[in-house]
Amino acid sequence: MVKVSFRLSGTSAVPLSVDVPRRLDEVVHQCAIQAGVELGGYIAVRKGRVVTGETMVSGEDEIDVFPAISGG
Amino acid sequence: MFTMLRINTATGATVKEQANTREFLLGARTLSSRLVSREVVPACDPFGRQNKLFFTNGVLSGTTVSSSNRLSIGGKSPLTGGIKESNAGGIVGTRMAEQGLRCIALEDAPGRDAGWKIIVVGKEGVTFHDGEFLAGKGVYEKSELLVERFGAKAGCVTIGPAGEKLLLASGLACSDPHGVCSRYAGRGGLGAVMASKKVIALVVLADGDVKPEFVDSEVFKTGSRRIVKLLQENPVSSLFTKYGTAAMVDICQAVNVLPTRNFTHGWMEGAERINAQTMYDTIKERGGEGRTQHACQHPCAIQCSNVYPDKDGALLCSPIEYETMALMGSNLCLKNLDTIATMNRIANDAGVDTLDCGAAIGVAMEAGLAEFGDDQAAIGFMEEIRNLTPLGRILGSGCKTAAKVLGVRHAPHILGQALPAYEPRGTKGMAMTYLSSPMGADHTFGFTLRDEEVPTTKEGKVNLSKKFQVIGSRMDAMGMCNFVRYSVRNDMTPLLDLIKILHDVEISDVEFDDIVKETLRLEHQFNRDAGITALDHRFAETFYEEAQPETGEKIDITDEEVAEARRW
Repeated sequence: MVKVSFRLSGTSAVPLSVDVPRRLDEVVHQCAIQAGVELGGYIAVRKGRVVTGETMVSGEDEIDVFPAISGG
Repeated sequence: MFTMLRINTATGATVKEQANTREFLLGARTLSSRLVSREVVPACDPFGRQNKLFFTNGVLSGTTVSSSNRLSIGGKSPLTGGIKESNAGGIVGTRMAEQGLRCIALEDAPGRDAGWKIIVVGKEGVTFHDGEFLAGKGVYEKSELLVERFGAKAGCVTIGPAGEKLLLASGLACSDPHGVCSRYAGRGGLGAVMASKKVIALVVLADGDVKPEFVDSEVFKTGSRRIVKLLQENPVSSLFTKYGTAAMVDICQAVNVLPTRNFTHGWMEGAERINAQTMYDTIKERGGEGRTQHACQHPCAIQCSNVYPDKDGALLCSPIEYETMALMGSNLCLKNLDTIATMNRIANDAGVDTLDCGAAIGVAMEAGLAEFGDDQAAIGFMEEIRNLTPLGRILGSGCKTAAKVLGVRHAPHILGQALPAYEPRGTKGMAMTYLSSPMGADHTFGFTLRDEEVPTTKEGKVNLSKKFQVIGSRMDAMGMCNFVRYSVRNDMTPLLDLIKILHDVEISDVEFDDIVKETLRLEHQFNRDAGITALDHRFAETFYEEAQPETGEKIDITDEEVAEARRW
């Protein structure tokens, strides 16, 4: 199961069965719909590294998704 | 026609001038930076008679458009030695609009024996008042005394004791909607510049009666509602409403750019103790005067500000921003929000920038004056600043000065201005922005982090930084809050339409961006004329020599790349 956590959204991690590697962007959008999270720009992090929407995810990947905001 | 009020601080003479140019139409940084470029001798002493201080509001100031009432303040910075534009929320920009003013210029400087003055701008004209009774007092007390004398609705700009002593990190405190001078134009030492003119407070009375003259008020209302809708529908803006900028703690920790231990690390164990959720929960739990949402100006549909209460629910500090949480928190290895709030409050009272002082304390800790993570020592350093002790004066002059005096090589600054809250080795886009800003290290100048596919590489970062230098500068260029940019970053039409409806002046998006780029060109030219060279646009050498542990990255950006990022 791939697990996607939408940080700062107040929702629980969304598990998603990914049999064959899929693009992160697709996975994140699918999970966002499932979690009822309105997705704007985002920053995704896997094992402490930023990963892009083109990255392939599979297996037991755990992805943290942060809203792409800025300081002020 | 737009009006500029010139006030000679030495003679008391005042004169009003009128202009109808694009720069006066847009106001804000577009105007303040042009006036500094044109009227301030670049090589002058920032504390001398030749420096000027320009207070400008923006093109939509005084209207009901959300987040349109920022106050921009420009002059030559004593901290960086270059041009400075620092802006703040609050009500001063609105009060200026009600007086029919686009700009107030403080010029010249009286002799060193002159007493402190309060300059009051009202419907009946400009008056000078004795300000000696405010001298030496903290900003909170000054604020109360100003309200007592001029009313809670007056728009005041004042300085703290640090400014009075010309400390380089001193800022300008501006009235918030409740009459408290808590909205800071904090960066660049402009508080000390106002002090050098012996002006302890500038007050714009609430007796102005100038109203915006709309070409079509109904169409304007519709356009104004469109901005609110865009802000409310944008998921990024709406997140600010709940957590404010504090949401950045988790993001920076996740991508290893949370400044930690005097910018030697990008990750802090226990960062969740100072993150947005902890702050939100603490404010909710304590109740009382605490507010998770708060507007720094009216009207504002974002309300990203907050009021942090003490254990009894009484106001401790408002606002606490992410950058302060990082520079006065993780950068010092502090994990207690009450400590950060206390330090922030002391900084607000002393009238100093939380970022430059937080960075200076980080340097002091690295020098061995206290242990990282020592809450009481950190608060003690802030008290030294407020009490103007010799060490306090060093720390209140920013991290570059502190590092030189205390013998620390790893000084986190560009042009003498402390790096804000993003460890640059882990985000080369932000590093490029810090390096290429004419203002010294400044995160708002071109915020790339959210759009960096691979933050640790410098590839493509010249162009990315330049792209966001324009996007970021658009809001400054017209006096809008920076957070509106999320809603208009791909289409400025909603704001440009409002300008057309209000002023009957059509500005295309291309023309607007050209104005923004011209501002950048002028700012860099001023700095060159002031003697700032490519060698000044570098980090301390340690950032190039030592890898950040979490990413293994060093700064690898060349002078040529920085020069390209500064070319407009």
